[in-house]
Amino acid sequence: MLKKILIVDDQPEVARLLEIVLRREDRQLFFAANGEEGLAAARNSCPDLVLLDIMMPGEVDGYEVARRLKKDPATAGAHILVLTAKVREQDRLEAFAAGADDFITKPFDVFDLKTRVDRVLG
Amino acid sequence: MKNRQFPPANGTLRDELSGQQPFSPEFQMHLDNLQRFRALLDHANDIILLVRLDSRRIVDANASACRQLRYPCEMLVGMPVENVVDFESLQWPEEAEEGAECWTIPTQLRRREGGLLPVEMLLCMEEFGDTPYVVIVARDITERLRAETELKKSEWEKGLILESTQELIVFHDREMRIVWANRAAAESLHLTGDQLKGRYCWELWHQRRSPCNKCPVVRSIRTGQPHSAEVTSEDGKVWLIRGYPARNAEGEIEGAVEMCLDITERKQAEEALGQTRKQFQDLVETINDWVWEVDKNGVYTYTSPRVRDLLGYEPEEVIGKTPFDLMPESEAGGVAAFFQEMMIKKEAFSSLENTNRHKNGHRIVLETSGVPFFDENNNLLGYRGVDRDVTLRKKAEETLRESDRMKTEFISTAAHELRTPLTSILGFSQVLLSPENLSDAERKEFLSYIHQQARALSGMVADMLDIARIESGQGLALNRVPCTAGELVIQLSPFLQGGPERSRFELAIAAEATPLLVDKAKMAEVFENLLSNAVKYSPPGSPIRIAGEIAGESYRFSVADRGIGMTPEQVARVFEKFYRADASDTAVSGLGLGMSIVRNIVEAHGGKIWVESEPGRGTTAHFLLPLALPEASGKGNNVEENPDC
Repeated sequence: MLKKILIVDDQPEVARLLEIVLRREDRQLFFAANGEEGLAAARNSCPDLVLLDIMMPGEVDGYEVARRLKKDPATAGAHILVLTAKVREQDRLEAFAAGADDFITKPFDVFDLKTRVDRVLG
Repeated sequence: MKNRQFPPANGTLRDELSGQQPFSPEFQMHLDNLQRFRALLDHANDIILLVRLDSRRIVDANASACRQLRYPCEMLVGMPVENVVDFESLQWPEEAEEGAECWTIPTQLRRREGGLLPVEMLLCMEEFGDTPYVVIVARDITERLRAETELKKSEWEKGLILESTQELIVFHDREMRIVWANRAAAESLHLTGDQLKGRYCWELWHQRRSPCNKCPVVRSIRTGQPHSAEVTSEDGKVWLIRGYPARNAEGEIEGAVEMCLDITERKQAEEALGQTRKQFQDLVETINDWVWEVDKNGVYTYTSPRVRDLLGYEPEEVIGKTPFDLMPESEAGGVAAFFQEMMIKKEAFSSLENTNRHKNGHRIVLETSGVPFFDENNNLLGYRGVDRDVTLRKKAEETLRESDRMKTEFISTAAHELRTPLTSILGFSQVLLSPENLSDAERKEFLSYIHQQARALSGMVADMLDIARIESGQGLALNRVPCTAGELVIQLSPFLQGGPERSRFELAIAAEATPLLVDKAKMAEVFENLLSNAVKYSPPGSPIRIAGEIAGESYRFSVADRGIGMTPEQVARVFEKFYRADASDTAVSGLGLGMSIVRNIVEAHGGKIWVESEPGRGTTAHFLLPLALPEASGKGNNVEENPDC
């Protein structure tokens, strides 16, 4: 069965990097460049996994996206992996409080990321 | 005197008077004479006694004698004369004339009740028939003695005053000759008063041959008015000299009284006091702090002129006010309560911070210190103290705190900003190094990302180095070359046409050939900063206009966006380093150094930069660059020919 991954990041080169690292035959990737787009894409695609940046242009930041995804029964089941340049402990706590399931700081080890994603998606 | 019974003079006369037979005309004439003589004696004011020398008894006395000695006449007559006159103590004149029969002797007569009557007594020896008598005529000199005593006392007192005063007192005649001088005057010359008589003060005291200029004594004789002057003598002493005209009974000027007082010490004390006062006044008025005094009601009774600089008031405007009158209402209550407490405790206080209103209305933060002062009974009279303007210090503290906060934020921002390009660089290089199968096109693509992000990283490092250099005072090293306004925009082509944003840029460059003398690389940095801000702070796809035109002596460039804009507060701070207009929107990347560097570059070129903005409408950054003068370029007028451009 095809697993769906939603990548929400405002920086195209990061999105591209994630695409390269995570692409597989049994996976379908979706992209969004800000919070609003991310929420819309999640509603449409019902992803199994969301890779979520925190700081993005626009009204809705990553924390808010996580909160809304967990609140919406349609998307509440998605595994949320926060991928951010915010490195302070309080950022990590805030992410988990918002509903994140995992937290990786940028710059990240691509193999570590790959392993974590594989573990979630099987 | 008809009712008076005159005592008969002798037995013969009494026998004759007691007889009833008519008097002979001759006898009658004698009798009349005797009676007239009697009346004369009785009317005399002097005491007249007739004393028989052999019996030493009073044989006759006039009415004044009875009255003044307080005896009934019949008692006085027949009394031993010693009862009245104390012959034992009589001081007979030593040089009595040879064969004299009268003596004038001052003495005291004894009255009936024992009191003494001072008299001048005339004593004469007489013989009536063969009988020797003494006639005593005594005049009451009580009044004269009293007057003499009083005069003596008054003279003595006057003398005492004149002689005991420290003041030199000299009486001059109309010709300024000394008539009399007191002890102090004589002693000042080590002479006696008599030695001064007839001399002139100017020769005695001043070794001059003529009166001193403006001598107050000479003037008082001339004008008839008192005059005074301060004179410094050869020995350095200071004298206060006063001259008073002296007039005789007819009101004519007889001369002048000179009074002369040594006021050297007083002058020195006054001078010393004046010096001390001046010293304190200078200190009080020179220091930058405002010195004041308030009474026990908190009303200003003194203020140094510095209040003018601190609060804009003239000292006389502050006198009569209280400190609380100069404070905003919100502040006055609290400070007044504090001051009230200090007044009750009579305690000093220091460094009380309080906000005051400048005469112009703006707020001034003062730091007040004060000490109480008291009268001799330890009653509080008020406070004296100083106020220091700490507005600038407060502002500096604030600025320092703010700059500290911004620096901390900068470090965290910088760390974050550096992580973004590093994510791509590390991620893509890891992918490239992995054994994964990648197409050549992908490899090239990934390498280009790595290159791009490394450049961005390098740009940030360059910014930080620029700021560090500017901060350390080294300034920017400019490499100016002649070129045109158009060329500065053309060199931006890679930036303008390279990215996905290319459709957004609108160019409106007038007078492209305008010659400028600039560092082209630095100008590119300016444009890139302004343009990337415009892109960052405006919605994707909205137009960004780059305009240029000649403005007087300068060429003006502007970069305008239709983005989120800024509030006036944000505009005011846009050129501060580490400042990011919207720090909360961390999605907008940047170190917050760009605009600070941009301003430094423009100003290093002798130009000027400013920003106009309105929230929701967009931001326009303008900057002026001075036009290149032909001589300044050093390469002639036609810069088009310059191969460098």
